[in-house]
Amino acid sequence: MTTVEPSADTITPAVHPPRELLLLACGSVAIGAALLLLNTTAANVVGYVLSSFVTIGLLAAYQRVDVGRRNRANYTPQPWLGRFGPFIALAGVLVAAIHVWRIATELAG
Amino acid sequence: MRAGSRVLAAGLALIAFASSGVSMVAAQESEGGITDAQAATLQRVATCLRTTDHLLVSFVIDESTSLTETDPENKRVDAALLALDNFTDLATTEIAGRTPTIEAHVAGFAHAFTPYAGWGDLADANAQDEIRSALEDFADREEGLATDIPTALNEARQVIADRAAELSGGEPCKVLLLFTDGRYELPFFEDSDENNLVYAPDVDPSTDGAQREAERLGREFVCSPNGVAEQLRDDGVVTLTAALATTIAPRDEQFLEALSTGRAGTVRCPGDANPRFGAYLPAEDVDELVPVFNGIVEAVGGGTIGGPESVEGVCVGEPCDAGRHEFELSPALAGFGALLEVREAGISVLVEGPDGTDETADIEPDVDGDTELAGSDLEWEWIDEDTVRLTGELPADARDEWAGDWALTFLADREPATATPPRATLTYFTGLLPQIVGEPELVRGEISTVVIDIVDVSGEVVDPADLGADVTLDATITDPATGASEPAQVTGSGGSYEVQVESVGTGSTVALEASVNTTLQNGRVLAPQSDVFDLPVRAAALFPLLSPARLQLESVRGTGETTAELTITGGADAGGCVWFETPVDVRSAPVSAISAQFVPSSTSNRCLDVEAGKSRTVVVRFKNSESGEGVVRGTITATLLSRETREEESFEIPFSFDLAPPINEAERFGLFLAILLPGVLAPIAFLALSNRRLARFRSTTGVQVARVPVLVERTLTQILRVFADGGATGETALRLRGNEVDPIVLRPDDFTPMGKQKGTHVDAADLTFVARAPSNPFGEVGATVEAHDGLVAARVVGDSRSDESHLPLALPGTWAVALPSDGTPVTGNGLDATLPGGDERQWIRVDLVAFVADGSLGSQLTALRGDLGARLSDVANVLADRVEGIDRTGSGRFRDWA
Repeated sequence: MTTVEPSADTITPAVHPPRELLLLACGSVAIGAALLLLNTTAANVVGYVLSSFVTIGLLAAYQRVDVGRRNRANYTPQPWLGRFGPFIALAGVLVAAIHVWRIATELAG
Repeated sequence: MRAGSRVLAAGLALIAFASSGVSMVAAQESEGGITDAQAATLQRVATCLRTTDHLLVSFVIDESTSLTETDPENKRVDAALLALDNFTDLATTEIAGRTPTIEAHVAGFAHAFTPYAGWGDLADANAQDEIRSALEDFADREEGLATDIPTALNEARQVIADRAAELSGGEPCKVLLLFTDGRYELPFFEDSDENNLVYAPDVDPSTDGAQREAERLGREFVCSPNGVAEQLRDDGVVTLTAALATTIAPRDEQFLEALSTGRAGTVRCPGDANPRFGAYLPAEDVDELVPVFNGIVEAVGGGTIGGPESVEGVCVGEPCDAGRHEFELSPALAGFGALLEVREAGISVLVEGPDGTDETADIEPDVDGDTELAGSDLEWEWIDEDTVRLTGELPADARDEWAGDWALTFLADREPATATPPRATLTYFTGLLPQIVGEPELVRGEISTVVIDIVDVSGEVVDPADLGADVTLDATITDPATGASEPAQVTGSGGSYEVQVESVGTGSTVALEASVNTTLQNGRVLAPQSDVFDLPVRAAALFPLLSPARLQLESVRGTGETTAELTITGGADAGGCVWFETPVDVRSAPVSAISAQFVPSSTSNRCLDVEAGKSRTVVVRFKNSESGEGVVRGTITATLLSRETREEESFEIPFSFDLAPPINEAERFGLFLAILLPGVLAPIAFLALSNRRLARFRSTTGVQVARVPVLVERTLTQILRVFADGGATGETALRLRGNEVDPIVLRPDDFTPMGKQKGTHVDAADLTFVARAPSNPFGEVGATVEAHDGLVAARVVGDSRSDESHLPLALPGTWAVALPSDGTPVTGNGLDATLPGGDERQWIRVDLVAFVADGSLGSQLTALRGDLGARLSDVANVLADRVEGIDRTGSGRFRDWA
C-alpha cells in the first residue's frame, strides 16, 4: 500500500487579516490624541467622534472582514493581531473621555 | 461685500479704525451719519483693537413679536449681515504685518436670552458660516413675548466675560452690539405662572402692578451703581445700541441711550455720559437700519463719511445729469466705500472712472460683482434689492490712473414708481498712519525723544506732501493709572516727526497717542488716524529696574488664585532695594474678596535687596475667595531705593485678570456621562450586535472534510495511520517511515466535500461545530466543536491559542481528534499487524478529522501535516488521560473538553 504525498499546486498569495483596518483604528486614536493639543471646541468634538465612534467602528469592520477572509484557502492567521483590538479600543475610550471632559467643562462653565 | 477690493477697504478700515484719534471729523449729525460722541465711542474700540489685536463682538438681537410689524422686510438682518461682513474683512486682512483676531457670538432676546451661535473666529470659514446662518435665522425669529433688555444685557455680559476669561495673552476688546425695535417691557409678566426674572425675584406676578414693579426693578438692575451697565463698563465692554426708534417713547429711548452712554436727558445710568461707555444709534425708520449699521461699521473702520447725498432723480434709458453724483478721489486715499440706496428694485448704477478715462463699470440690479476700473479694484454686493454697497481698493502704484473725479449714475429702463430719489453715502479711507520708530523706553524725570513716521498701508514711509495732502501730527501722553493726559511737543514735517515725551504720574508705563490729521487738496478733512503706544518707564540708572511694566494674569474660574512674576534687576552701577505695598490697589472688580500676596514679602524696613547688575524675582499671587464674573483691575505700588543715592522712586504697575464663574461640577459630570456614554456604549453595542450577526457559519460549499483513523503511541513518540484497504484482511495497513516518527499523511482522496451548510450549527464527520459570539465585545467571534459520541479536541493550523472552545468560524485549517466513548487506549496493536516496539507499548486509537478549502490543496496538506506532527500526539494523549482519569495538569481537574 502506498500513500499519496501532497502534490505541488498553484501557489496563491497568502491572505492575511485586514491589518490596514487595525492601522486605521490606531491612526484614528492617534489623531484624536493629537487633537487634544488644540483644545478647541471643534477639535474636541472631532477628537471625541474619531476616538470613539470611528475607532470602534473600524474594529468592528476588522472583525467582519477577518471572518470573511478565514474561509479562503490561502488565509494565514495572525492570532496576535486580534489581541490589539481591546487595547486600541481602550486607548480610544480614554482619549474620547478627555475630549468629552473638556466639552462638558465648556458647557458647564 | 467679498474679498478683493472689499478686503482692502476693510483693511483700511482697520487701520483707520485702529488708529483713529479721539475726535472724528465726520461729525455732522445726519441721516446715516454719526455724531462726534458716537465716533469717539467707535474710536475707543478701534484704539483697543489696534493695541490688543483681539476683539470680541456679541450680536444681541431682539426677537420680540413686534418685529413682524416694525420690520416686516427684515432689514435688521440685512444690517447685521452687513456688520458681520465688515468685521469678517477686518479679521482676514493683514495690515502692516498684523491681522487681528475677531470673534463673534450671536444671541437673541425677548422674554429670555438665547445664544444661537457660540464664539467663533471670523477668520475661520466654518465659524463665519455658523454666525451668518444664525443671523439670517432672525428673519424668522419674531415670536418673543417681551423685550427684556436687562436680562439680555446681564446674560450678554456673562457670555463676554466668560469668553474673555478663557483667553490668554491679554485682555481683548469687547463690543456688545444690541439691536431692539422697542422699549423695555414685560407685557405678559402678570399672565405668567412663574417668575424667572433675576432682578425681580420677589415680585409676585399675580399681584396688581407686578409688571410695573418688575420693570422698575429691571431699570434699577441696569442703571444702579454697580448695575449691569456699570459692570459692562468695568469689564471694558463697549455697548453699541442700534434701535429702530419709530415706536419708542422718548422716555424709553432715553433708557436705551443711557444704558449705552451713561446718561440721556434725566436718566442717569448711573452717572454721566462718557463716549467710552458706548453709543446709542437710533434709526428713524426701518429703511434707515442699513444706513445706521453702515455708519457704525464705516466709522468703526475709521472711514471718513461724506454724508448721504441724494441725486435729483433716476435717468431713464440713458445717463443724464439728474441721476449723476460726482465725487473726487485724492491721491492720498487708499480706498473708498459707497452705500448706494437706489430706492427701488431694477435700478442699476453706472460707475465712471476719472476724467480722461472712458472706462465704466455697470452695477446691474441684484447682481454682485467686481471689476478693475482705472487702476482700482471695485467690488459690489447687494444688501437687499434696493441697496448696494460698493467698495474700491486704490493701489498706490496706480494713483495716476484712479485719482480724479468719479461719477455714479442711477439708471432705470422705465420711470421709477417711487418719488424718493436715490442717494449715495461715500466713505473715504486714508492710508497715512503713524508708526513709532524702534522700541523707546522712558526714564522717569527725563525727557525722551520718540520718532514717529508717517507710513502707508504697506508700512512704507511716505511724505504726505507728495500726495497732495496736508498732514499734521498730534501727540498726547496719558498716565494709564489715572487717565490724566497732557499734550506732547511735536516737531518735524513731511513723513517724520519727533515727539518730546516726559513720563507722567507714577505709573510704570505711559500711553503715547499719536494722531495723523490729514486734509486733502479739495479741502476734505479726513478722520484722524491715531495709534496708542505703550511706553515703559523706568527709574534712572542708579535705581533697580522692575519688569514687566504691566501685568496681565491668567483668569480665575470660581475661587482660586493667579500668579505672576516680577523681575527686579539692580542698576548698572549701583544696587538697590525694592518693596511692595500691601494691600494692592484694586480699582474695579466684580467681587470684593480680592487679595494679593508677594513672595518673598517685603516692607520698607525689610526690603528686597538686589545687587548691581543682578536680578531676582518676586511672585505676586492674587487670591479670589468669592466667585464672580468680570475683570479685576488695579495697580501694584513698588518703591525702589537706590543704595547709591538713598533716593526712593515709586512705581504703579497696572494689573488685570478675568474672573469666570465656577464650574457647576454636577452639571459637568452629568454632561460628561451624557456625552461619553453614548460615545462608548453605542459603538460597543454596535460591536456586540455585529458580533452576534457575524456568529454564523457562512456556506460550507467549497470546504472538504476527511476523517481517518490513527494510532497514537502514548509515549508521544509515534503516530501511525491506519489505512483501511477495504480488502479481505480488513483494517490492517500501517504507515511507517522506517523507525522514525512519521507525521500523518493525509491524502487528497481522503477528503470529501461537506456540501452546503450554513447557520449557527454545522455538522461534519460526526462532529457539530457551533458558532459563538464572544461575551467580550472586543473578542473574536468563533466556534466550538462537540462530538456526537465521545470526546473531541480541536486545533487550528498555525494558531497555538486555538482549542475546541476557540475555533474560527471558517473550518478550513481546522483539525480535530475524536475519541469515541469506547475508544480506550489499547495495549499492543489490537490489530492484525505488528506495531513498532512490540505489544508492550500502549497506543491510542482515535479518529483524525481535518478540513481544507477547495484549491491550493497541496499547500494546505503540507501545513496540516506539519501542525499534526507537532501537536497531534499531545492532543490525543490528553484525551486519553481524560478517559483514564489521569490529571497531567496538576490542577486536579480536567479541562472541559465539551
